Amino acid sequence: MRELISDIIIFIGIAFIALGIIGIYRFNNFYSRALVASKVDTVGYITIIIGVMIRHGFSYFTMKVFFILLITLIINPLITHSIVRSAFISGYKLRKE
Amino acid sequence: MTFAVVTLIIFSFLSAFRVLIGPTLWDRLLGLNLVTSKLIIIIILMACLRMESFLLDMALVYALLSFIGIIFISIYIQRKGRF
Repeated sequence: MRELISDIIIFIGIAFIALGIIGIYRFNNFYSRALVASKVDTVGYITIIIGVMIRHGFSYFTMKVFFILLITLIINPLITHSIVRSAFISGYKLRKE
Repeated sequence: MTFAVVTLIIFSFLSAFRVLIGPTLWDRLLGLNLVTSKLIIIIILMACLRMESFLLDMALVYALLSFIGIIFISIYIQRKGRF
């Protein structure tokens, strides 16, 4: 029963990541692409990790996976912030279509 | 579960392709960030498949190192090479 639930959650996470990939190729300027890609990617990441955690119940394995989830939750927004900040400060302006 | 790993590998190739196309320099950094996060998910899924916990330590170290790498690259670009 638990296997089924975790598989469903992992597939939902993969659907999110697929949306993130579509988001990368759909937008034409950098800022909207960065917004969509990082946000959807983090959501897909969380869903898959929760699916893995459910699959393994309560053990050292799940504790390590939870720790990785915490670290990445802090890191991903920071990385995207630093990328977009360096883009903005270096003067990447949007051309008004 | 193996289906999940295979699709994630395909997605990491697609975001790696974004690194190739990316018109601006920061698109490439964004693509690198996406490739890294997908590889971390793949490592965690492989660790879940093979029930080996040393892979999780590897995924954690890889996440931290990629974080430091991308942060310093973006700072280097932001300061236009004067680091």
